[in-house]
This record gives sequence, structure tokens and C-alpha cells, in this order.
Amino acid sequence: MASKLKVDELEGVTTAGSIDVTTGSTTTNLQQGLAKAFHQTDFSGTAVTRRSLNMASITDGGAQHTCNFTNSFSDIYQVWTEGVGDSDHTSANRAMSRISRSASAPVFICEASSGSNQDAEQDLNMLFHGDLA
Amino acid sequence: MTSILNVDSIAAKNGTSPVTLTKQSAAKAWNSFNGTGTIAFIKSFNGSSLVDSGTGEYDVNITSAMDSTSYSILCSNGLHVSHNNANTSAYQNTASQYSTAHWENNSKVDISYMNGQIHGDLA
Repeated sequence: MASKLKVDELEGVTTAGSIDVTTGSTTTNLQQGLAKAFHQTDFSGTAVTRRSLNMASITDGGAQHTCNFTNSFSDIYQVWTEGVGDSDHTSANRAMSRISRSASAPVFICEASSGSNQDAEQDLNMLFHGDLA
Repeated sequence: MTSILNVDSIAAKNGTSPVTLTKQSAAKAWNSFNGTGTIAFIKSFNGSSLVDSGTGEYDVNITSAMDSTSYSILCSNGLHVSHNNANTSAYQNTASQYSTAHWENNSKVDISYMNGQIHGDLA
């Protein structure tokens, strides 16, 4: 019989922020696997963030964007990935890179294949993993 | 009433099946590493070792293997260094290793900071 436990909050006993989860023949750490921040933002005009987690704000500086986290990371080395796109794929050759590390407000820049700085256009998706402070 | 469950480990009822996180999935690995000179992890979750497999090309081994090669792998280059025609690719070599490469102007080049994230099911 399937079982479901309904609670509002889970907390580790030994370490508050650490709970192991079985995933078949091995275990993985639940909190380590959870994304700590993400956003999907349309930069084609006035920046509009459609979905976000842990983003107090996203500063639109043309091709340069600052992700202002609500809850800071434990250090400046968040692990992040990104995807840039739009409906006609004209921005498919663009990529983000980080120009300033920060635990609370890292700064990223979008570049086209030519090497010139470009707006991220319709869709910029970013995903962050690591430990919160 | 707010409820808090204090536990160290959560297992499926039968002890072997994956625990279901309703309407969500956790990453099974993420890594960042320095890809120039002597390559080394900067941050790692479920990463075991790195292999410098050529200019701009890296293999990343993970400790707990995925259940197959059908997992999602995303990689991005890191710090800004005048990227011309830059691209970062990723490929699932095996259930316990992915490869990633960084390209600029149609040639693979070493890069100082690489990030990768894996989603899917562990073995």
C-alpha cells in the first residue's frame, strides 16, 4: 500500500540541513540536490521575470544582469547553468558568463557568437545549486 | 498547525524504491571545476574525479552512478574572458561519467571555470 506523509517542514536530526533520501541501491542528500535559486526572465523589452526562486530582484543592465538573491549563498562559488533562447532562435548563439562572483549578487553578461555583448532577449533561464548561508 | 518532521533519512516504504518528491525532482550531481592548468573541483556534489581529456575537453566522474545514460546534463562556461563564438557542450559518456567541452571560434580551448548539473534517477 502506498503511503504518504503530510508535513509542512522537514529538518535533519543530526544536522538540521541534511536529510538522506534513498533512490534505489544508493542514497543521496536531499538538500544538496535541491536548486537554491532559479529564474526565467524575458529581457526583450522591460525585463519581466516569469518564474523565480530566491530572487529578490534581477537588475537589467542591457547585456549585463545582476541576480540579487533573497537568501545569500554560503560563499561566492555557486554552481550555475544557463540557457538563452527565443521563439525564432535568433539568440540561440548567445551564452552567459559570470563577470563578478558574489554570495548575494553575482553579475552575468550575455554575449553573442561574435563576442559582442547582447541582450538575452525573450528567455534567459538560470539555475543555481550550492549551499545557502 | 505547522508541523516539523525531524529525521536523518527518508526511505520508500519498501526500502528500495526511489522516494517520490511530489511534483519536483532534486539534482543528483553538480560540479564546478577549474579547467586550466591542473584541473580540480571548486565545488562538488556527487563528483568523484576529473579527467583532462584534451584541450578544452573534460570528463567528470560521479560517485553514485545514474541508472542509465538517459539523464539530463547541463553545462555552462563560467567566468567572463572575451568569449568569441563561445559554446559549451555536454555528453553522457556512461552512467557514471559525463564529458564537457568548451569551444571558441570553432576550436576547443581550456576555460578557467566550468559548471555542470545532472538530473535524473540514480541506479
